[in-house]
Amino acid sequence: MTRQLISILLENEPGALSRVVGLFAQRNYNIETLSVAPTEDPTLSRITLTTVADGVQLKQIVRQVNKLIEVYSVKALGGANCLERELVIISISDASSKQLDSVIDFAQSLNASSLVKSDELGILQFVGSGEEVDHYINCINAKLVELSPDLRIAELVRSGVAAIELN
Amino acid sequence: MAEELSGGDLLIRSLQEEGVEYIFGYPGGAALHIYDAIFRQQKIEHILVRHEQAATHMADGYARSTGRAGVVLVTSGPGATNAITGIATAYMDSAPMVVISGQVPSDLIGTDAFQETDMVGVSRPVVKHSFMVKTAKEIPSIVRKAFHIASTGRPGPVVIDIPKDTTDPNVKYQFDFPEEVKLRSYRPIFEGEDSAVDRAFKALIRGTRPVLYVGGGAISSGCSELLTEFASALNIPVASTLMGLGAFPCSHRQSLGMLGMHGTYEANMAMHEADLIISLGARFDDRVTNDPKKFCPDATIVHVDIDEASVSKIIEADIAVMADSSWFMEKIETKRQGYLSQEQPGDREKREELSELWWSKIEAWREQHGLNHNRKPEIGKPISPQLAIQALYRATEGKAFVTSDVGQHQMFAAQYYKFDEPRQWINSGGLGTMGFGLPAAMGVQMGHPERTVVCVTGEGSFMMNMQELSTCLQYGLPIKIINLNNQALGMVKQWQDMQYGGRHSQSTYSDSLPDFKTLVEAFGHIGIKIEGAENLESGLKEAFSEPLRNKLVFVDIWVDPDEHVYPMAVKGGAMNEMVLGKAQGEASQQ
Ligand SMILES: Cc1ncc(C[n+]2csc(CCOP(=O)(O)OP(=O)(O)O)c2C)c(N)n1
Ligand SMILES: [Mg+2]
Repeated sequence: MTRQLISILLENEPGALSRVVGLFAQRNYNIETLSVAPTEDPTLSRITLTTVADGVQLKQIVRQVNKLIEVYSVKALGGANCLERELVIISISDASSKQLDSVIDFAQSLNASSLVKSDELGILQFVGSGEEVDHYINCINAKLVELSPDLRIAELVRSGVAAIELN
Repeated sequence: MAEELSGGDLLIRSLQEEGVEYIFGYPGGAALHIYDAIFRQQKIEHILVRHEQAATHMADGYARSTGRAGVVLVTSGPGATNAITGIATAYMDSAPMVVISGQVPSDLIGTDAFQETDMVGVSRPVVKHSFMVKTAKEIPSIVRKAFHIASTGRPGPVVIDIPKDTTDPNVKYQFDFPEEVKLRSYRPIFEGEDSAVDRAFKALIRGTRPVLYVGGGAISSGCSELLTEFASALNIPVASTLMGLGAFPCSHRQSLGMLGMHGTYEANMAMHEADLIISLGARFDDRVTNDPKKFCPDATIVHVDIDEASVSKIIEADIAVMADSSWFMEKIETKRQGYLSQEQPGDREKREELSELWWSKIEAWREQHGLNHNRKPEIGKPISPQLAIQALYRATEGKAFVTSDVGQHQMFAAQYYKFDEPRQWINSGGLGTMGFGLPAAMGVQMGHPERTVVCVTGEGSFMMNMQELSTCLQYGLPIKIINLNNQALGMVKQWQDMQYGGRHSQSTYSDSLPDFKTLVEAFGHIGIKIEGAENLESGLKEAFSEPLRNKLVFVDIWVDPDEHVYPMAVKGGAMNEMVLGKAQGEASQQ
């Protein structure tokens, strides 16, 4: 069982997304992450989702999704054939100004950007592959613990994956 | 200039353009503009049912017997939810159907208005597709798309949900029925890859123990003639799923009958020992394969299906052919002709010898446990349900359309009525819906007014939709209902006998059954009760006699309540593991 990335082009119509999501529930597949938005052609939307499945299951999922009337095309992406990006926004509260500075410096050294910095609140943004985002979150957690055992990420929001094919 | 019509009239005109003969429906508030539009025309006949579930089964029976989409019209809320069982039934068995549901007015949607249900949402898991009408203008194109989707590719039910304001008689638009369907994201496959057919044919020629495994897809693709020619020319045994019966003539020497859980001994043994299986429009359902890990250990599997998601879903195919079965049969039949015309006499002899060897094995299995063993009517004993079906077969000369419900009676009908024509046998195989039989028979009769239509039912199933006896009177439907009355939910009781130490929990009701003869007479029909083996032939003869030809006749046959359906697959076993009779069934229980 491995993480699989699936990219779906579908008609940009009300209800189309719920059919895809419903299919996953109905067939007992899980959705780990999901992102959806219109494409360069505004009549089509792109769903990018990740799931956990083995090769046989993945083939089944792709075929079942492809059967949906509003699905224009569907592809399993992964490995070297695509570039994937995910966004994470983290807020940190209840930290001293000095502690916040220190976390922000650290985050910037990891190529994150600081969106908000006030006395009580710091908000950081990071963009990378799913793996990079995981790694980044681990690093921030470690850094917070290092600064004070009581410090925590207050809120964490991930976008789900967007991916584009290379070729 | 095209005329201006309201949404209701646009809908009915569009249905006329689609060639719809019947709408099976039931009115209610949200559908009343549409009902008024029906009143304004004569081309389409509306059949007023007594329960919306029955409307869907009627449309289904009409569709399966004619190959044309059945049409249902219901109101919002309870009308729509009552239709769900029938939609799910059609979905599981891939029957083409268009279900139109009234919906509350657009501005009330989402407010929990009176009789509001999210029909698109509730039906979503059991439809091929669904539409929600936003303006009357789009009704013709939605109808066109709905029929196209329902009847092409792997067929299935399509829902059109119509908010009441979009059928307002005062809002009119030009009627413009689109000639072409524009659906860029829906591209059903029909043709497969020639190379896959090549490989399939080579595997067939190399193989020595082939079996054709035929499902409902073979029937909906219309490949029966080709299939029969092909199988006959190469002397290949043919086993059918419950849904595939009739795709290949059951009375043909090469027919092994039904396979699977209650399949024939020879069909299941042949499948298990085959070295090549060509599956046509079948989906390796768990009622067929039993434990997929033990399925047909020696066989190369050729899987032909129009639904690519069905191919290799349960059993990995060695040769996958994503195509319509008729396309595949045409290609492989051409190859077969080319091959035989060039075959060297020596090769032919060798091939025929191997085929004889395979057949001698199959004949031995047939001998060991044919379905007809030791069945003779015994005077004074209860009627054997198997004999009742055989007597029905004779009384109808094997030519009736037969619908069925779900239970032992269904299996007996599948085992003992020899269906020689595709579409002749109509039952709920996938969902297993009790209550399907009578309304389905009504739909079949509508589509085939001149033919004999029989519903083989059990008293349990019959009581799930018996209100339709009233509809039958209204429209003069001369259906013959054969009730195998075992005074119990027989199939449930059989499982309890075999797996639950004979504890008949909630599966009997013999003290409270109605007198069916009186019951059907109250509905204005003819009732015949048959008890005792000696009265079986004469009772059936009367039911199918000329004076009763135009009457609905309900034949209440009191059968042996202790009878079980055999063979029965051993739970979690391979296909060659079957319980063949009661003695063995009870022994394996210990
Ligand atoms: C709607 C529905 N509910 C429950 C079942 C489960 N079930 C399968 S067969 C059966 C018994 C059917 O009894 P009857 O119609 O009398 O047929 P018999 O088996 O006695 O021939 C039941 C309850 C079902 N298939 N459908
Ligand atoms: Mg019964």
